[in-house]
Amino acid sequence: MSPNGQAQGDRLIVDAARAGDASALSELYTLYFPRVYRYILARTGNTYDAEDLAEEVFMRVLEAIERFQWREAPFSAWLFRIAHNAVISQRRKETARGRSSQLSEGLAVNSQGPDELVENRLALSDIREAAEKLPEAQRQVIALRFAAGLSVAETARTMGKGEGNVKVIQHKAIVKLREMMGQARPARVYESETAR
Amino acid sequence: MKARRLGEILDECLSAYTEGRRSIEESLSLYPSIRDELEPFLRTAVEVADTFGESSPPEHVQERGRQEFLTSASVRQRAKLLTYDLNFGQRMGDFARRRRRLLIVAAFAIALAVAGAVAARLETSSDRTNHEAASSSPSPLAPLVGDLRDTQQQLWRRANQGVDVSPEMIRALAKTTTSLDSRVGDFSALDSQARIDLERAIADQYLLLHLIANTQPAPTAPEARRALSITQQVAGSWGIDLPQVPPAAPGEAGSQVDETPPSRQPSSATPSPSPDNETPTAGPVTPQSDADSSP
Repeated sequence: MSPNGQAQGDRLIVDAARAGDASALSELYTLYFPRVYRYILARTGNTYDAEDLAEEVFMRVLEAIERFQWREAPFSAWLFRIAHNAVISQRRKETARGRSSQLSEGLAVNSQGPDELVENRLALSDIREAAEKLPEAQRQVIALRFAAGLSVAETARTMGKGEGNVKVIQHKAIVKLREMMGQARPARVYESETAR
Repeated sequence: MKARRLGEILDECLSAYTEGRRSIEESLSLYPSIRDELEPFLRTAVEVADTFGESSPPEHVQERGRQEFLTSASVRQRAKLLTYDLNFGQRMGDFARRRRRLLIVAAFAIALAVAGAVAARLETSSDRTNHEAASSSPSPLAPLVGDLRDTQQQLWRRANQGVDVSPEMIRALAKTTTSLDSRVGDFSALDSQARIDLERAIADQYLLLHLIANTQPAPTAPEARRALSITQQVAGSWGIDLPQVPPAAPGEAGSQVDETPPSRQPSSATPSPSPDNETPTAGPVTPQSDADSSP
């Protein structure tokens, strides 16, 4: 579907959801829950946190959807701002509790196991570990673009930046990720390329 | 500049890949001049995107979340409808109360204006009467009508300025009215000018006492209601039609005054919505009663 077509579809669904239409709410959930989950997983590295926070994000959406206005941002940008705030809030709580990053612990549940980590595919934990060392803006772009699957335009609106700026940040992030992951696994072999 | 261009191309190739429009190789073939530079970054980007893309939430988590989400939405929707009903009842109640207050205030403002004009005319008329009296036979009612008008004007001024009216002034007015009634005897036997003067005086007094009974606190308001009753009886005995006034608002001070004569007051049959149970009017549906009837 073209971006315009998707935007139109989103608009119909979101407007119906705002009016309390149960099927529209369900569709909205289907469309966005996996993306929100992936975004949070990319930011926290913990599947349990990703599950809980993704559910929490949708509860916040219910509370705030009546105040959502199309002229301010696309729905996706609005939604991922809520997700971003949920992640930040979670981090603050963890900091207050003195909990360190549970990256390895959390990802062990979802990753493909130690054997697969040495295979051609980059494991999620590798990427997460590398991304964790990136500056915040680069981490955010990586999570929004690659985990949540937002377009550059949507990412820009979510972050309050220009599209050109997002592309530059994305490029820098990829360069750094490649450097870091290349150091970790210099003998990587890329899998056969097949367009999704 | 070069980095910016590379960033643009990298994003374009990545988008083409994730949207299924081109493979990595196809994209690289489009940019042969920067292929060597582009390829490692593009492959890294694609692998990052693929890896994240494969980390989907477990099915049971997604379904559990959906049920909670939809249940919460349904609860919110019902709560919203209930709140709307409550708010609607509240708004209607407030609106009705405001409307009734406004009507009363507007009615009394008009009455005051009319009474002021009448009083001015009465003064002129009184001067003319005095003048005529000097040249002809003096009316035996003139001093009493003059007293009545003087008291009425004092009360108008005080009531209009929001100053407390003493019950003694009301009693004095009632006493003068009773005295006047006993002096008048057969109203129809009076000359036309006297009848007009008395009719205006009683009509003005009726409006004045309504205002006082509805705006002044106790013990003035009850006194005003007694005086009002006397005024209505006098008007009835003289055959005078009294002006119409709006019904009193619930909760207003002294609001149990009815525009109809005491014998025709239908008030006591209806329970009062006011806290002190003093206002037996069939007023608007209160928020509470509306809430009770809502689903």
